[in-house]
Amino acid sequence: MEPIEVAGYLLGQRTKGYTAHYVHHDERGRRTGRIVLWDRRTWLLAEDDGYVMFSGPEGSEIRVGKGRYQRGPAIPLGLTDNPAAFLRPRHAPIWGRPQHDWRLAGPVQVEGNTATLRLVHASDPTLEGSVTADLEYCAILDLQVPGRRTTLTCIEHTVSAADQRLLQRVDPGR
Amino acid sequence: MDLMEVVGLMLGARPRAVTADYTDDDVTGTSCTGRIVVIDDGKTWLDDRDDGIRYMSGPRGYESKVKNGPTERSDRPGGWTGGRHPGAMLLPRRAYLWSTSHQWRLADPVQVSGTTAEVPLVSQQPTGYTGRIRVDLRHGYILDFETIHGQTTLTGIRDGISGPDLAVLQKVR
Repeated sequence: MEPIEVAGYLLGQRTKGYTAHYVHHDERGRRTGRIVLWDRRTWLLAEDDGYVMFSGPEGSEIRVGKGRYQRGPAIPLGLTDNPAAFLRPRHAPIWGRPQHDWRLAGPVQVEGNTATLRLVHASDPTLEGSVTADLEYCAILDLQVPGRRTTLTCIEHTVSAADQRLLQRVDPGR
Repeated sequence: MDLMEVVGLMLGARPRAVTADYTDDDVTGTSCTGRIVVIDDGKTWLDDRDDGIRYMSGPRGYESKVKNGPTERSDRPGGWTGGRHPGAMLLPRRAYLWSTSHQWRLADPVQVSGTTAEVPLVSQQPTGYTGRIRVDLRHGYILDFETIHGQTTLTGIRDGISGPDLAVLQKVR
């Protein structure tokens, strides 16, 4: 399998209504949480320590206290380090676009329904990482670059009623 | 040059406003020339063919007009159709090249010549057919798109939009 074939799975993903749980490691330690992708413009990130951020066509909200949220402009799904983009990989910063730090490279290691590729840094090819794609969900399961790693631990094709209520505040057309 | 580097350039093309002339030759024997204008990151576009047919689309709707014929209008934006639509060649991330469900995908080897790269295409469904695209490495545009179905070539690509074209597009923008 070639990197461009794996890209075909990731770039073609159009499914909506996913929830996934993740584990993130970086210099600050280990964090866990969940991500929700309602569609390409409406998503939610909720860390288990209470931080919540969600965005849609009508803006975004960030939790600033118990039951209190600060309103702001819409936030792109492709924001660096936003694991919600794992569920819509077209927006993940791994494609070597001018604003992306990373691009896919071979060789590809296929194991069951997953494929793992190298990531090469756009401006320093000696820096490498890796990305593992789920070829069934067409999602990123694991992304590892120097200093940080994010892994999805489960993906469900559902959005809870509580998350839907939050997301409707920034996407009232639903 | 690595194929995924070319992919990055193509996916990264985000023209604010660009105009190009094009020639399209289909294997059915039909051919046409015209002018394609893409603005607002592809949300608004104009396809003005030299045979008098004109299509345009934007957030306020879609309009098609045939020379000396009626104008048809929809309140909903219209999409690009066809694998080698000249609008998608200026905004390659919208071309039908990226999904496993699309007929064509890019393949190795990439051949670079100056500021362009020629990239083979292989058909995914059905398999066994080939084509090619030529990519402008400075902007990520597809300059030439050739498959068994025909060939479309962009020429005279220039940044910006003319005043008359901008005036026409206000109807749908």
